[in-house]
Amino acid sequence: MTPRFPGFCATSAHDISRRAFLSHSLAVGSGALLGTAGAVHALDEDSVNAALRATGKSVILLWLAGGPSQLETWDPKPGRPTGGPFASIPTSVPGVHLGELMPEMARRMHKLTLIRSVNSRDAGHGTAAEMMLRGRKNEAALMYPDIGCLIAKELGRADSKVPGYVSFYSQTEGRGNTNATPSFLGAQYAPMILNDGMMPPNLSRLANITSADHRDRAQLRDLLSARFADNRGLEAVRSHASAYARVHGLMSSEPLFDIAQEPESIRQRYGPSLFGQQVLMARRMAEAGVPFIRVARAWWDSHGQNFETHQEMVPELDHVMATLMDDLEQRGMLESTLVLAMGEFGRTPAINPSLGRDHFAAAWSVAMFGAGLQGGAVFGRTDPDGQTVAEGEVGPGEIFATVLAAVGIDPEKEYLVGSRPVPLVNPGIKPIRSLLA
Amino acid sequence: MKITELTRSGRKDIVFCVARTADGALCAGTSEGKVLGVDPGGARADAVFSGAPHTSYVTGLARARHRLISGSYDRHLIWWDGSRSTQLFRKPAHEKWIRKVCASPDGTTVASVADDMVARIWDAETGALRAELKGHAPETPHHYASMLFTCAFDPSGDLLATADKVGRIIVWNVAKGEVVQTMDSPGMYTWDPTQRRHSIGGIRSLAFSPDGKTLVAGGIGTIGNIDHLAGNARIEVFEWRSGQSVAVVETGQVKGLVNQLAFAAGGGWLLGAGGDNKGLHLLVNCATWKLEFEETCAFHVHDFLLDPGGSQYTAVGHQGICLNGIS
Amino acid sequence: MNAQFPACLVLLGAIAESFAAGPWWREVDRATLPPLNQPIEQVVDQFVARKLDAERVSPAPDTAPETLIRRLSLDLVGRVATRAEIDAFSRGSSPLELRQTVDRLIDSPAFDRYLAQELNWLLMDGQSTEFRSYLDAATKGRKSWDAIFADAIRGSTAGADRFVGSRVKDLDKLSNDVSVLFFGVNVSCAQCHDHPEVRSWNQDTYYGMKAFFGRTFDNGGFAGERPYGEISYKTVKGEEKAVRAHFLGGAPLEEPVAREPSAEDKKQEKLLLDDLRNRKLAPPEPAYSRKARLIEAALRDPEGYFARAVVNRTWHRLFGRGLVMPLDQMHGANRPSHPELLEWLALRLQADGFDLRGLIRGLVLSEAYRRDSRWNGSLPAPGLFAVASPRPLNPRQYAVSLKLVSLDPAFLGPEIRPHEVAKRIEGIEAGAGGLAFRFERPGDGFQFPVDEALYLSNSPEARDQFLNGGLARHLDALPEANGRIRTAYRAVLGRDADPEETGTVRQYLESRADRPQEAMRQVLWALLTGSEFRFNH
Repeated sequence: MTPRFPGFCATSAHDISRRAFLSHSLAVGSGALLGTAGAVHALDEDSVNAALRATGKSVILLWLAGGPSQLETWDPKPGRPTGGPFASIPTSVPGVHLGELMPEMARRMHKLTLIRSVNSRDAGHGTAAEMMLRGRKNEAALMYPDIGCLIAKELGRADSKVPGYVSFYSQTEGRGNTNATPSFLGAQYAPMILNDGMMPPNLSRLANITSADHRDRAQLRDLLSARFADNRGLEAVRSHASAYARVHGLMSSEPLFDIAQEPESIRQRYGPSLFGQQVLMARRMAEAGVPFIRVARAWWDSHGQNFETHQEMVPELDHVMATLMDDLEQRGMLESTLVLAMGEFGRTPAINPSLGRDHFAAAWSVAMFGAGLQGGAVFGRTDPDGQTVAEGEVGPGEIFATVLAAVGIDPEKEYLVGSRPVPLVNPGIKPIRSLLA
Repeated sequence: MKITELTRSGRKDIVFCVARTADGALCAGTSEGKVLGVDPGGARADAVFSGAPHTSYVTGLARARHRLISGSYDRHLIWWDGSRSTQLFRKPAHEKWIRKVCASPDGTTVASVADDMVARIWDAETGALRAELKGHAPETPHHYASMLFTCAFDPSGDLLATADKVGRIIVWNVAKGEVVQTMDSPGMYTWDPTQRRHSIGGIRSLAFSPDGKTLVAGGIGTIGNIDHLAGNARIEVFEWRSGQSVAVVETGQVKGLVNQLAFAAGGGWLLGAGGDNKGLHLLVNCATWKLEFEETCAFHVHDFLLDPGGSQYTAVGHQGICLNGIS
Repeated sequence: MNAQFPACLVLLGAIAESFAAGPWWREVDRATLPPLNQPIEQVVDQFVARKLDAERVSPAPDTAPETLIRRLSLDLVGRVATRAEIDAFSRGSSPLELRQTVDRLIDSPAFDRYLAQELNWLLMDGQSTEFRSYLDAATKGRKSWDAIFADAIRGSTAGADRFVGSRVKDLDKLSNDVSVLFFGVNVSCAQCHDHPEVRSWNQDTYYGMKAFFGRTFDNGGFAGERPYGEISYKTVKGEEKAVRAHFLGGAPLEEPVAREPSAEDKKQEKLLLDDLRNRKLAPPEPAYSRKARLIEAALRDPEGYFARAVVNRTWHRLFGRGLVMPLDQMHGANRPSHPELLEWLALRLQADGFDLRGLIRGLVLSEAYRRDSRWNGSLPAPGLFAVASPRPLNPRQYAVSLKLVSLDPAFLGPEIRPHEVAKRIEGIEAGAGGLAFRFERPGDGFQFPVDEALYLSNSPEARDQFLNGGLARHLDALPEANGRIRTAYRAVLGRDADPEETGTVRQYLESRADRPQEAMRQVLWALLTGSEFRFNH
């Protein structure tokens, strides 16, 4: 970079040394006790991750908040008293059936991976959402990070021009259950939140300064701050510099948040729903290298009129998911993008008097595709009435581990939190190997 | 006026519709796809009609002279011989779930409504399709598939009223296949744009007054938390010739859908029933359009048959059948 | 804690051996400690110097007076020093003047407010306005730490009841929070299995602590306590075991036998509780309160957890690192950097009746506190306290300081009477809450979120407040560039720009000579968002 001012000769050198430092920086480990952010320290060197980062993988989580019914989607039980009124339909994989509201995904079943044997043991919205998004229960003294924050840390780059984690949650119900807390990973892995629109706050340059002014003042700031940082060895000082270093990159990503930049034909394919448009945004972001994008579709909590609610919401999910799959494939991104669709739990096989289904965590389903997962694979099985897991029981930990492994993160890796090594998933929890390519 | 339960029998299935054969035997359609003879007292076992059952919930059952015609979410109509409890024939009738089947008072014509948003008119004897009535919008204003829940013939049998999820009511001239009147009852439909972003509600029941001048529509009022049927039961009253809404009746205590409505023979009062997690029934004074009675009942009622004398009615619904007295 | 996940079992086991002989504090020979009436700062420096000597490390020199007064103001009253304060302090920073300045700050109402706020963050994550009101009154009334502890546990004072009240739905969290915040130990490891580091700590220890709250229950958001009720737990082997309350592995509590209530008693109790709940009143304390016995047990504990924990936290707050790290692992197997000093400070605090003010005063008067934060070469071990550690400002410090320095310097200038200055600053503090909410609370190993940088870079609100405020207009009115640079540096950073800085900024301004006012505003931006201003150094 050619400095604009002679006095700035040091800028680029500082820049280089700062970047060099960041590339193998280690936070100093100590407890996360006083504030919202604490120290975390990967036991294995970050260089291990460098190779993984080069793979440029992303995860898109379709968070089906409130808990959709597995019986009306991924694990139909037609003809059983618990099955409800919907028929099941054959799919592109012989012998595998989906609910009749999902014809588009049925045609793409050979690219889809299903887990039909989730027993997550917690059927309260708040605690279950927290657990599913963290892969385990928090402890009294240790809150685990949200999966998006973790993947942002593992797959993101400190100097990336795009955010590490973007979260859409436009409906208000259940939003508070899913605060994406980075916990001990530190606040820099918190998501950029787009609940009320597509454009993040404070990303656009103020009208009264030019972009050259903006860049120059940042150089001045960096130079003055670098003088302060000299001879003061503290990770927090460097982290302050790196937060400002990301500003320009993020601002240059402003077009990323402008859905009008997508051709009309693509926008129409995703359909008119808010969910469809947000999933299209998620694809845009994955394409630009955002490691984790969460699009929440609330609210599936069909205690009353379960079937009508699913008639309304499942076709939307089916269409948007199928469109996303096709779009990723056409762009050559299917191998590098993992799409995970799940809620905090499923719904009871029993049908209540309001023709609703209630909360149910004992035997439900999760769907995913991409990132080299085994297409057409169905893991696990429920009993004929869907009351219990008959084979292959897994919990949130196994789902978490499978997602991590699929995008190239070792689930057994440990962070040091204070003096305590904390593995990414609980000890003994393994990914579902048969689903990994 | 009040309602008291006389007899009740519990069941494992859900009973969605009820009709009486020409012989006076009580028949019902169930969540197991069956059409069967039932006894509200529970003394006699179910008498399942012979022939292949429906493959999904049986949601409509109408008697046309000696025949019974059932409709189901499986998109088929089945014609039954009511007195012999046997199947005559079946027809694929709609592209989506059939929500209701009703017969003209003279028993010559049968109407079916379904989520394909079409009302089809059938020859009750031969099963020949006579007309298709198309006019309900296939999508809600929020781009989701709509639902056509209910239909009712007027006393002359010349007119059919149909009503959908967003509260649109259409009165058709059956013979000409023409729209005679269009009315809206938007209070029956709740769209939650912010908290949960989906909808609930819809008109679930229709009935013409014995003089044919008044049309009532039943459903549920505005719901705050659409996870539940937590809205007042709602009835809107129309002078349908002019299209004017003349009254809205809402419950104050009980909550839920009004799934069925019937006028007393003289037209003096109106019976409605439905429910949420509990059942509900209510009586409306048709002179004042005021609620005379509202109470929860033993189970969520999906359908009922009011006896011609108006002193009792048979209700079917969630895991139960019962006989209630009106006094 | 998830019972299927005994993660603590994989804790580093090496230090466990050191505890075989007993906790480290029993090795400290109290007879050799300095007399308790010696000034705190002297004892601090004596022990810190002893360790530095032993390690052959020469500490950093004293920091410049303008940096020291900034540091003191941030630590004692939660904001940077005003220009007038800096000028007054820099003119002569003799030991006597330092003492007078510290006393002036500590005796000011601003100190009480800031201490209340910090304690509210510590105990309530800053979330409770009721608890904050209680703390405001407590610090103003010079309530001692043991009394604040007792109020929080007992909950019989308005506002203080929120400590237990907000946690009563989760007794595991309540008992663990109490252990961590007041005793510096995290016993949650021992919930599912025996503690891996402290051999005498087992599941009994955990449940023995929890038993103090075993009779506490939620009644409509208020904590109540019954005079009866016992707790038991399942051992690792799956056996059901009853527990008696005992304090961190100490002797079991001797207590009267609790009479189990009759059905009629229970009915009466329910009626009373329903009534209280409807009227939104706290249930009365029972004649025998096990919760109250925890207060006695903690204050009489021969091992001294309570005093050591608060000394360590206070040290951590002022030095950026505790004498023991982490702050919730103050058990006998985790040796402090300065064992004798920690013991002495804990004894002294006890002797002073748990007066936090005196402890804070002593610590900030020490040489160790005054050190410069710069160090040439590789940093010495942090536990030596050879060099000051730059600490990110907490949200309140940053918000109030941003607002304060962006004002016209005359607003708090030397012409304004001290009483009026204090009033104006209190007004600035009161108006900074919303801004503080935009910043993250720093913890150990804090990393800055990019949101803060985006907000200060691009939000119109930040621009209007900080770049178009009184300071900016004051700078506009100055006739020439060097004067503006000098004034901006002095206003924001409390110091003069050095020649190199002045040269750089001048070059920047000259490159934008077409819009000099706007250029100066961007210089202001660079200073306000710069690391020097963002840290307490």
